[in-house]
Amino acid sequence: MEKQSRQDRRALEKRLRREQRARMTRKFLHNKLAMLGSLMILTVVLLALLAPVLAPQGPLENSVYDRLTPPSLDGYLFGSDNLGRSVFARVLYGARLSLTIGASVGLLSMVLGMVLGLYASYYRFLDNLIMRVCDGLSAIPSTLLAIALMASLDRNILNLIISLTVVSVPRVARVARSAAVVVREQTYIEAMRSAGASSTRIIWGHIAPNILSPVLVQSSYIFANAIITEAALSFLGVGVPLPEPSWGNILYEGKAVIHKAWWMIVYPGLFTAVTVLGLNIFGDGLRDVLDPHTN
Amino acid sequence: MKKYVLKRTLTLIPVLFVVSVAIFMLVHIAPGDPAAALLGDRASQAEIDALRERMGLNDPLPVQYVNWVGGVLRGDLGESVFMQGSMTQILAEHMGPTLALTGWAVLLATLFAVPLGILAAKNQGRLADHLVSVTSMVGISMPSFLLGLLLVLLFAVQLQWLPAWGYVSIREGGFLAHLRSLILPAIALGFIESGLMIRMTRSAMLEVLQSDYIRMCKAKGVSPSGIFLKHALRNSLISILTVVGQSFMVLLSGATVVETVFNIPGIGQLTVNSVLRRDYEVIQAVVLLVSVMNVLICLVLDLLYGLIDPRARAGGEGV
Repeated sequence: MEKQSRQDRRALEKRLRREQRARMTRKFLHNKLAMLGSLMILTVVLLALLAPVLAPQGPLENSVYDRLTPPSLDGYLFGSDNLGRSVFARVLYGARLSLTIGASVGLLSMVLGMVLGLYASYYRFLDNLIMRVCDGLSAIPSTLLAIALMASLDRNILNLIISLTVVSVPRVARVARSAAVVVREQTYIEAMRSAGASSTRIIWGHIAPNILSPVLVQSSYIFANAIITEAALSFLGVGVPLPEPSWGNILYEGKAVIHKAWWMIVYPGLFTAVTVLGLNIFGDGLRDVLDPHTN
Repeated sequence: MKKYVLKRTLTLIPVLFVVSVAIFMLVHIAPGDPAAALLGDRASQAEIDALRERMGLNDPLPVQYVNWVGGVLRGDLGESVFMQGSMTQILAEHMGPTLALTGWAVLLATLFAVPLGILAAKNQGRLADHLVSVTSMVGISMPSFLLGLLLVLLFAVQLQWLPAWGYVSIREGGFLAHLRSLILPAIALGFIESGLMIRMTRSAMLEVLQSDYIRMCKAKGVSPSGIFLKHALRNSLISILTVVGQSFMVLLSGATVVETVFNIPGIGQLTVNSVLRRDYEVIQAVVLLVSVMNVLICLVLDLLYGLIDPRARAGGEGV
């Protein structure tokens, strides 16, 4: 008898969850911002994935006779750079690198920020410690801190991801904490505590799922910001090491020949702007979809 | 009010402590010996040892930290290995162009963003509002250095109206030449911030416009322009001024990258050059200076806010 009722409850829970998911998906598909943003990001992701097919000559292959050739449909689609490499290939392979770095930073900051925010909201003594460290780190302007970190660390992609994550985590942690503080005060959390549930179970099983929406939205903005900062660092010559292509690197090399080759600025710039715009629009749409007040 | 000022000022202590530890640690997270990294491969062991001694790297970490903070508090920010003159002098020289650039950028951003934000709020949901939203979205998504490069392409390379790079101070070339050298970088830097400013102005205006006392004014028959100018604009001005104040800091650090695009000899260029030659003490000094400025500006804004709005005083941090 008892077993039967437990099974019923599980089935009901499962159905409710499925319905909730379907409702969210419907809402997402009907949200113009979210769809437009997704479309822009997906286009760039697709081009990045298809880079070996679309640009078979690769980003490093150069021919000295073809230096700084203007774009043309039958030659170099986006022109060639100062070393005679295809800008089209470099922009597409650069997309792989810039997107990987941005996504890694977004994901890492989301996980770390959530852990910090959750534990800060749950344990008072940790709250002061974690939040004061976050306050301090966010008092240092983020681009400057990232540059300074790259000055100390060796210039490679892993360290770049680490630097950008250090800069972004406090922002996620703050959002996670303020959402978690609200959830912590709810009656059902109090009920769980009095029923003897362990802290871990309350934090991860019951608070974490309820703060996922704001954290997810924040992470999409972090993703966008990481792409901008990565491009900025590479443009300054302290990000992705040359000759590896990233959008910032191509712009860095383009600056030296700006009087002769507009295509080395315009194309990587277009990709950067479209990707960041797409992510920001997506973030706004996601915020509307996940916000229960906009039903 | 006194209590509020004291309480708010005391919150600076942990923030400044964390800032100082983070900046101090920058030198020490570097793999290997900072002195060796600084001097490069060709340095002899004796030179490295001498520099280690001068930088105090032989002491235990906490002692080094206390010495460093003690120095900073006495106004001694260390010495550059590559540049002549005291650190204060180096910083002061480079701060001028950066402040000029930031000032122009804040001015341009405010002149552009505040009217647009008000326009959008006044026409909420209509075409003008949507157009302004798109503008602000583009502003937020456009990296400043990219906009800078595009502006150079258009106005310096194609049209040849303005210089592509370089900086002229008022003292050297007069006001007009100064403005000509800074107009493109200021637009590039200001536009990114104006995106955020438009949004904030719009939402501040909307919040006021939807409040009860505005409804009351309407019910009493006050003319729409009267409501707008006398009541709504005046009351949202505090929030708008806060945003303008905060933007100064955002732009000051954003100037780092824009300065490199336009070869402006400000603290941004100083930082980048120091990073490339691993001149740690200069990097530390710049980051510390900018961060402390940031913290102080936040403090002043908060105190002003508390002065104007009693609710901020009563609520403390949580408001």
